[in-house]
Amino acid sequence: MPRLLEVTVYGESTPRDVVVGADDRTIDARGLVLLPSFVDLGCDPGFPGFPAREDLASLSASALSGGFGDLLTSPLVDPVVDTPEQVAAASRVGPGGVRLWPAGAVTRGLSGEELAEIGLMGAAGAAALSDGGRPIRDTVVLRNALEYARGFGLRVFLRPADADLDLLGVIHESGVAAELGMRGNPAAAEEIGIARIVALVRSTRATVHLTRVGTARGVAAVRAARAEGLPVTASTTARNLVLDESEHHLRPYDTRLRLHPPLRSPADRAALVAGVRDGTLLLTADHSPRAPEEKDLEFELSTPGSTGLESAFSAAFTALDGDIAAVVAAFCTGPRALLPERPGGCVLVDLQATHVVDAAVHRSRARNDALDGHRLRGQVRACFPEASIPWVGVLVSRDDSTPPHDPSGLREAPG
Amino acid sequence: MTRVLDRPALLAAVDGVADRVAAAMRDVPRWALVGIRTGGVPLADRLAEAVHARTGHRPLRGDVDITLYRDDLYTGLEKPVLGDTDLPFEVSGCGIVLVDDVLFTGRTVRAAMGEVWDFGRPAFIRLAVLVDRGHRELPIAPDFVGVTIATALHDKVVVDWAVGEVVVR
Amino acid sequence: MRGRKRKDLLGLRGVERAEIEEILDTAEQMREISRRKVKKVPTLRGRTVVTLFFENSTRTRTSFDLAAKRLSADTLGFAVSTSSTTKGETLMDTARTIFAMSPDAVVVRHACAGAAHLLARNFPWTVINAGDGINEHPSQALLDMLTMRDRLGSLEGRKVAIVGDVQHSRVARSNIFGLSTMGAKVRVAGPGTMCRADLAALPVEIRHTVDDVVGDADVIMMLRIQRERLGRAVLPSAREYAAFYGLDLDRLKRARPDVVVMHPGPINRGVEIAADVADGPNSVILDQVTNGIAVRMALLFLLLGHADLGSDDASAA
Repeated sequence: MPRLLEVTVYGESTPRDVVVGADDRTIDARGLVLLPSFVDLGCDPGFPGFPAREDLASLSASALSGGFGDLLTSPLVDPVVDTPEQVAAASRVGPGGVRLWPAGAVTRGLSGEELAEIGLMGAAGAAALSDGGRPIRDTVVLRNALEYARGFGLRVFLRPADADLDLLGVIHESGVAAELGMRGNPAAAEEIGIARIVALVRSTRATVHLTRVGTARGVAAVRAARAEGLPVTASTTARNLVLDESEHHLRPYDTRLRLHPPLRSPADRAALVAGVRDGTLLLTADHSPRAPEEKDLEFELSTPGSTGLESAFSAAFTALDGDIAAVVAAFCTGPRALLPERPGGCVLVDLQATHVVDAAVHRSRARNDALDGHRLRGQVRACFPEASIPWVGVLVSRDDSTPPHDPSGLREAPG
Repeated sequence: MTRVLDRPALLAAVDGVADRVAAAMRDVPRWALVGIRTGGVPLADRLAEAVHARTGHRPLRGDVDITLYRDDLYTGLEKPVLGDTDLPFEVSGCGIVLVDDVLFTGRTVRAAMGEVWDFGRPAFIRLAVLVDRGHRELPIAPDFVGVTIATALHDKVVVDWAVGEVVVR
Repeated sequence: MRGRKRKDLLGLRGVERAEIEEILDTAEQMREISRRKVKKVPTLRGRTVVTLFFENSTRTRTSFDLAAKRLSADTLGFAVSTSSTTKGETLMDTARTIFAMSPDAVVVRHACAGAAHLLARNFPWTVINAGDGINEHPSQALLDMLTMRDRLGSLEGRKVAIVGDVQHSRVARSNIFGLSTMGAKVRVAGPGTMCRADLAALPVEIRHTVDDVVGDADVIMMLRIQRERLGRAVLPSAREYAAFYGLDLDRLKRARPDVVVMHPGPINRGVEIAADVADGPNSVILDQVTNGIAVRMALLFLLLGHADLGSDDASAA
């Protein structure tokens, strides 16, 4: 069994030796910290259908490199994951033990028109439902989907956006867009999207997770909905804690910053950091691999998205100013509680190291990390998705308003 | 730094050039003194006055800026600054006396001839210079010279009208 | 300046006053060439200038083309909107094809903001932005500024009113950046859908009625209304636009008698500007065209006409 020598287990004060996996290496882990491995609730796997983006091997390698043991995968691949057969095929364990949890489509073909076979997909192992970030334009369809999904106990992942305003612009609508001569996407697109979904959750009591929240008013709306007791969780992306629209000044028309929704204002970014700190928001890596031919284009014509698995932890740790408890809540315990089973897994991190993100050496097949070139704190050293650790320190949510968390999943006996 | 002409010598050289130009142009019905920017312009002004004083005839005046005609624009000179080219007379059929302060490789004169040509077909072109410092790289020879001096290739010859001297650096 | 020469002109945002003045001063000299019998100087002989237009624009393309020819450069025109993009060739692929032809400068017009920047980043040749989406059109603003300078002398403290679809006008944006750098005060006016609040990030005052900006203006610049915008919930109709934002003789009477009236062309007569105003004594619209060639000659000369590297032998002069 691989043995970590003198590792500091998260929540404990005295380093000790820990066995984490099936080979017989020993790793000198003095000065390193063992955390529960991370979950990406917002992973675009890039396959099947996009061989230049990613395959199972490259995605798994990227996840391991970034400390992720579990990935909730988007149905927006080719073919779209909107049948129980597709869900079964997408439930995979990759090399190194990385678990892929497929989200099934809410609507057939992600068209926003007819409901997909939600019940059968649930029975086939869908971990959640999602339309892959596409807003459902028809409010009646959205309401039906929420009511129907609730009956099968499936959580619905929705990116909050007004479907029409969402199509406007390519960066945040503000002075920066005005200066750079780019069409803007208004914050109101998200604010309207959240208000609409929250109103429907209030009446349907469906369990909803709002993804890629990016505005200060969005965070406030989520906080209010949760305070009201609505079954709403939400996340933003780790890069949204580091980057904001001012990055466009530094790297004008850099298509790695072509993201949807766009990077918002510095004030929005500060509100997102606060939202993560107080447990209103979880974090995702929002891993979205893109092929060179999708990014080697005019800004407006390039495909939105950034890889994230290999920079997300460091981005979060940096933006949260070394608050490791907040990182664990947002990337480990919180997201694990949203998966149908409580996975194990752990990750070895160096909290003292700093490094400059270099997408050229990333394990992902894609090179489009928006954080490329940024100096970040904290670095993942190794990931053991299959390890079961005797957690002595009790991992509790930092705040009772965060999603219910069952610490038993982290307290298994040594395997 | 060596002074090769002091004020009296400079004025004498100008007078000498003016004498020769006035003599040579005596029977030419229409001719112009054309200064090559920037060094040739003050000399052309002085020559125009001097010719007028000698003959009562005021020659036509024009200036050319040869920046757009240089053959060394791509070879690393300082950022060029465009000056006026002003030939306020019909060039075709006109006698042209190009005027420059220092004659060196001949490339500037070649460029100036090219530029004059784009305004029309002159009757002839002559060349008047204050100082011929040698080192010609083209088959160009002055028709009217103030002084001829020997210089090293990397010397700089400067005509300072304000002080009234010619120095070699 | 050796070794620190500007490679490209992508926009006027961030370009310093001294540099704008140098361009305008050089352009003034260039005008003289267009008055000669032989309207051509040998300056850029042997250099190749490619015009790469992904949008139709006869006037800008021919203006650059003529400017290059007057400097003796060889010119090559690519009009891509009708050929390659419909076949799915990307901007970068088109640029790679052009690269194989060893151009010295590429003048590019494209519907996407940042298209010129993309080329400038990826290729060694000089890139001149001839319009990128709604971002910038720097040569147009420079010719506008040259025209204003001709009429007004200095631009310092002058009041310039820009009227129309400022939000989507690269001409307006480049003028706003350039004019403010030169010390002019820019006021803009137009319907709310064409002058949104986020323009406040630019060095302008935003007004919504024409009379608010016309009264004490030294210059009134009327922007072209893109017909395709009509009826798309941006603008109800051409006659409504003309009634509230068009410049006719009545409105012109409320302006200073010597106000300079400009328009980047092509004009929609009777919409943004009445025919008798466009052809009237205040209009400098044809001067703008003449100055366009001079400004583009100046740009080509300043960007291409000397090297930043090479021998120290400047003996020719």
